[in-house]
Amino acid sequence: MKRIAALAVLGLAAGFAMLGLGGVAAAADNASVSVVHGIPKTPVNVFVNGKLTLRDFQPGKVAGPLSLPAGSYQVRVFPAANTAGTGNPVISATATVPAGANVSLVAHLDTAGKPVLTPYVNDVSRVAAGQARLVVRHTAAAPAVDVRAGGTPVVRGLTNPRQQELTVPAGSVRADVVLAGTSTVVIGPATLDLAEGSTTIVYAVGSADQKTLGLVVQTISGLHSAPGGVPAGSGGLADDGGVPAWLPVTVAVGLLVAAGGAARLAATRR
Amino acid sequence: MRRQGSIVLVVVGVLVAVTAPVGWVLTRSPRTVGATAAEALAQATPSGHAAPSARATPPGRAAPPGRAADAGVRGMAGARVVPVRDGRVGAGRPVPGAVPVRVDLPSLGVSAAIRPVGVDDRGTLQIPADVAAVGWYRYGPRPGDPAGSTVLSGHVDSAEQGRGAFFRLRRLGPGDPVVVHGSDGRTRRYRVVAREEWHKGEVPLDRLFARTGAPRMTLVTCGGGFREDVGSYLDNVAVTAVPDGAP
Repeated sequence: MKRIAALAVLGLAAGFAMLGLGGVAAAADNASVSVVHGIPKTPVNVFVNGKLTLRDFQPGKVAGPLSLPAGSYQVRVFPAANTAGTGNPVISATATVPAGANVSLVAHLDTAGKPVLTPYVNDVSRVAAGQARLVVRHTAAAPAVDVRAGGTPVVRGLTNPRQQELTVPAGSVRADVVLAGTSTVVIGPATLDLAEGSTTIVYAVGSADQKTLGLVVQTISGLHSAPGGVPAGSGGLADDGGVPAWLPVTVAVGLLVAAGGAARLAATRR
Repeated sequence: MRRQGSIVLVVVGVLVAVTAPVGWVLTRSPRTVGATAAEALAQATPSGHAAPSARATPPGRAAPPGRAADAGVRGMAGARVVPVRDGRVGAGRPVPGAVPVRVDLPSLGVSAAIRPVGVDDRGTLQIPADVAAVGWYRYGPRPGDPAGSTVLSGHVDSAEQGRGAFFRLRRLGPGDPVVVHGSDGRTRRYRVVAREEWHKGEVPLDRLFARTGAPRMTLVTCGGGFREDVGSYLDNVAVTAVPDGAP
């Protein structure tokens, strides 16, 4: 009897705790969701849980961010002419959005050229001062590729739908995409601005067969860090520490005078 | 007579020994003034109202106002429009604007050239080697940008060159003018609202280099005691100034 009562109390407590957590968490734990359109030549309408959310969304564009509570979302993508959201969608998928995450939902072609929706969680941790974060995502109907910066591969053997992330000094790079292990350029070259203190996400999109390969870029800023210090002086002329020289001298003179007077006082007592 | 004279000596001596240090402490300028004002600027939203003290917006979430490259995609009737940006390469490239090229501190009789600087390979702020010049942190806001701290830094002095442009920076106080000239010929006037000093380990670097909050100018150098053995100062001094005409 005691055991059942104890379990019941535990169950109630857990229930209340979850209620409390749920209530407080709400908006603060919403995910930040962007939608990336990486399917060439297909303007679309995007329905989320049955609601028309993006209308006439063009290839090459990035929509958002939308603030969404964590959970599963039914996403249906229709050609832009279809505003009712009925019939056969171009993509029908369930996207699971984690609490508090920064997420990109990418409409793109898989390796076989079929339209799919892939969710990616974006790295929005702080970037060191003077640096930029580069993320490359292979979301094209194309074989494995290398990504080169200034002719040197920085990402090797990337396949659909994988990604790779690197931190580099901020600045502009001349980038291109080649078939893995070769110097056969399939995309670019293009000048990428890797902004300091930002995450720059580069999507390879399109179809090799259809000759529609290209890049889509998404930037997330506000991730910068302050420099580590300000070393601004080595001469010592502005030394302001401690006390000025005259101060202890003055105190000493005052004490000496007082001591002298006291000595004289003592002498006159005799 | 002798006795009276002796008492006078004692009294005078003690008075001098006590008054000198007390007087020195009471009459020297405080190292820090206006710290509260400087902190409030960092919390302000661009409209000038203080942001709510609850959670700060986590980085990478909300789209900063005005950044969307084109009109939002229309959602359902009555629904909020979702911002849409052009993701094609080079579409969002910022137009290069004017950079600061000279700073004047009229109350100190100082005028110094400004050079853009970044960080060294240890992530420490670069400062122009020429102590007569001043560095502008090029990854942060420019003068005239709608938010954040524009940082100018200069050597207070160097062992080889002597006094720098910012040698008397810590003499600046609230109300003193700061004038910044841009590469576009524009001149912007600021007035000092705070002067702060910290030991180097305690400098609020995130606040001094913040890119959010009220638009402001931050002038930084070294100060405080000097360590002969390592050839560097113990403190950093930072002066904060707001655009003339700002509250």
